[in-house]
Amino acid sequence: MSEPAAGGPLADAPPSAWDRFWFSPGSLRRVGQIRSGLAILTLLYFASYWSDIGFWFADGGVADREVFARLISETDSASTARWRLSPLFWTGSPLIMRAYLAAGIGLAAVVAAGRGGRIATALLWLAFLGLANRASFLAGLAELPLAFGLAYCAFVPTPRSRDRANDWTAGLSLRLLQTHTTLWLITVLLTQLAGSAWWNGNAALALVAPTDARLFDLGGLLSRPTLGNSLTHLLVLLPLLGLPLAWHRPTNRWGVGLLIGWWVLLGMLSAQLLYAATLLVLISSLRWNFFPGGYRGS
Amino acid sequence: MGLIAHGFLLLVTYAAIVEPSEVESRLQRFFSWYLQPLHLQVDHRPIYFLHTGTDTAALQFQRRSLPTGPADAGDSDSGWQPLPAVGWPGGEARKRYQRWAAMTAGLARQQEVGLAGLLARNLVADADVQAFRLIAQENAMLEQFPYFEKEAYRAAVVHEAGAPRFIELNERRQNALTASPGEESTDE
Repeated sequence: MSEPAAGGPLADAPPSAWDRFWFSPGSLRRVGQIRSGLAILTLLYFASYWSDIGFWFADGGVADREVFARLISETDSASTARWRLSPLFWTGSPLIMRAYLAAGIGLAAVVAAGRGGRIATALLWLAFLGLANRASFLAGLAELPLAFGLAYCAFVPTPRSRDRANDWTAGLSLRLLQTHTTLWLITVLLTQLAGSAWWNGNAALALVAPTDARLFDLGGLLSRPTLGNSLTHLLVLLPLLGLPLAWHRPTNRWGVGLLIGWWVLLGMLSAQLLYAATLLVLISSLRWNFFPGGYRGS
Repeated sequence: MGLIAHGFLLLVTYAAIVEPSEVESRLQRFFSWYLQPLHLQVDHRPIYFLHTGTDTAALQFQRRSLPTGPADAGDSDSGWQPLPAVGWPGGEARKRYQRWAAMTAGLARQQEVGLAGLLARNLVADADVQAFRLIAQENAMLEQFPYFEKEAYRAAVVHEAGAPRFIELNERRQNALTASPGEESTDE
């Protein structure tokens, strides 16, 4: 029924519950799929900077090195900002910055195609961190889950480089993805519930309200209380049900489905497409059948 | 042990999203060598949606090139033109532009007008720009906040040695009443 533990910390001794949870072999193919999904989104992230990287970061740009240096020196972030490491701080040339983007896009394409192994994934992660850290005050929501998602996939070999389907590195990667994604979703749920719009039914309308960032004009439709309020309550209900169901083995499929529905709706309404798409890829790691055998941790 | 430490630091940084406690701030500063380069620290980014209703306001930078008179470098409400925005609505480039505008507005509302001017400095480098402001665009949600100040920042722009200098107008008006001529408070 199950494969051997495929090396790793479970190879020699009877495993503890802790070891079973973190180090049971997981599916290399599933991690490969998640890695490809994240690499495609990273490619889009690099590409999104193609038109405006010079506008922001070139010398004389809106957020050039001088502005950045003064901003961190005159705010309380001076002590921590020195750790925002990026090679893009070494240059003010838009040409070099575009070459960096081109390299990142190329790396992302290689990883998305399932090539390059751990080295290409690690290089892609580092290139991504370089751009996200340079963006710093400009960085948005998608950077955060992309950063940890790529990190957790970077140490897992590609399926074609191994003669077996499962490996303990894939299991560890999936556990890190699952726990971190769950922590992220709980944080999003709890913090947004502190906003009154989620209680008075206006949240769905508020999500589509910004005139400069929306893809569709649903304001007229959602200003009808029945629809707007119902959608708001649904957006609260989906994660409240989805999170516990996803972590209960028999209902895992339903829970993951509810969480996917939550983020599809949030992404469509808020137009935070890259952020929502990243979360959808990460939520897919919560599927229980990624552990083909040996795991009894629930 | 590494997994536990990693999880603990994630808990600390996520628990500090809305308003960090003193302990959380200290921990984040102490472990910034780990959280910052790996891009794990959230740094006030609203990963939640809609903590307040006024978050929904899309902001617009506007400039005015021609003053209406020698004593009026930006006080009038006419003649304002929006600066060309970056990217297309809903795209990542436009979101970056909006985040920059939101940060400028946030600093201005906290009376950090010098820093707000710093963020806007290279947007108004053209020598013909005489005044600059940042306003929130109307939307269906803002109607519920009648006291929300839609104009976040307004400043006169003086170009000296090729670099723009901002004179925040509220402060300028106040100083005109309380200080002698030539003692205007300046930003930037």
